[in-house]
Amino acid sequence: MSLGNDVISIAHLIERTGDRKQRYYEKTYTENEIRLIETLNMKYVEGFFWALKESAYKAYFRINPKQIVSPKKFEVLAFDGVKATVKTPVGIMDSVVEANENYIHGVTFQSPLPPFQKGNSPLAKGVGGVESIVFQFGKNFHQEVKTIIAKKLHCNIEEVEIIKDKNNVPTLKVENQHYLLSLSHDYNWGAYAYQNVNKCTKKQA
Amino acid sequence: MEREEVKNKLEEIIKQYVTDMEAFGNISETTDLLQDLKINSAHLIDIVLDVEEAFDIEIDDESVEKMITVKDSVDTILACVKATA
Repeated sequence: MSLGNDVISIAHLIERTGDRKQRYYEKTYTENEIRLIETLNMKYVEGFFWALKESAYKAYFRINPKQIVSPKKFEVLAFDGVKATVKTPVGIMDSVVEANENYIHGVTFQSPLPPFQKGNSPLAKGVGGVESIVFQFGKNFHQEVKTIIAKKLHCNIEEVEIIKDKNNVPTLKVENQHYLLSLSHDYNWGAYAYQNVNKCTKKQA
Repeated sequence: MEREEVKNKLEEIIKQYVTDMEAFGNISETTDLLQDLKINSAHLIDIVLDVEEAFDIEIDDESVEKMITVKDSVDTILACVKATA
């Protein structure tokens, strides 16, 4: 099991044009991805693809913590504007993207993506047991994530911990149980995703 | 081209993409671009493109993969400069 997410602030997306755009494409995308991008003809398509690739990279890194600076090794095989499949060095993974005028948020996970109705937000519906939230954070991203998660899981905040291993990979500890957690922030937009987390059993103080 | 000159030029490029200036203040050869400087990964390729323009070189995919720390990046740039000289 693995999980990764990536949020991108639209206000800070770099617009590349002309020769720079061409060179960026050549270094970032495979030939198949460039073909896919051209057929999609989407606004902010580079942001969508980066969120997919980076969230897949994070899901990969959790399994094999060897840093790879090679976006082409995380290849978007298919993307319909909401869900995608991404090829990684450890196999094919499923991804989902949610976006609005402020941000693009991609979540990638290993388990097969169950069917969902087009038009519904699959992340809000908890597809594959994954839940995620994107929010504007202030000064302490981790503390704010903990507060939101505690509220969502009906826990006292002391029962929620974010633990990072030596490779900086986070897990969520709730009532002494460990769960997959992925964190991402870009400028003032923050996001988390977790999978199959149980609500607290103890009564809140 | 001297190593120090390459390092200074590289740091100028990196600086444009760093949001944590405190981390940038502690930059050294062992600094990891993503982990230590917390550079948004989406900007890594922009750093590579800026480096190519600044040094008039081409960095292939295999070499990009090696650019993890400042030292790795300086080594990669020097190797590319030497290869194109």
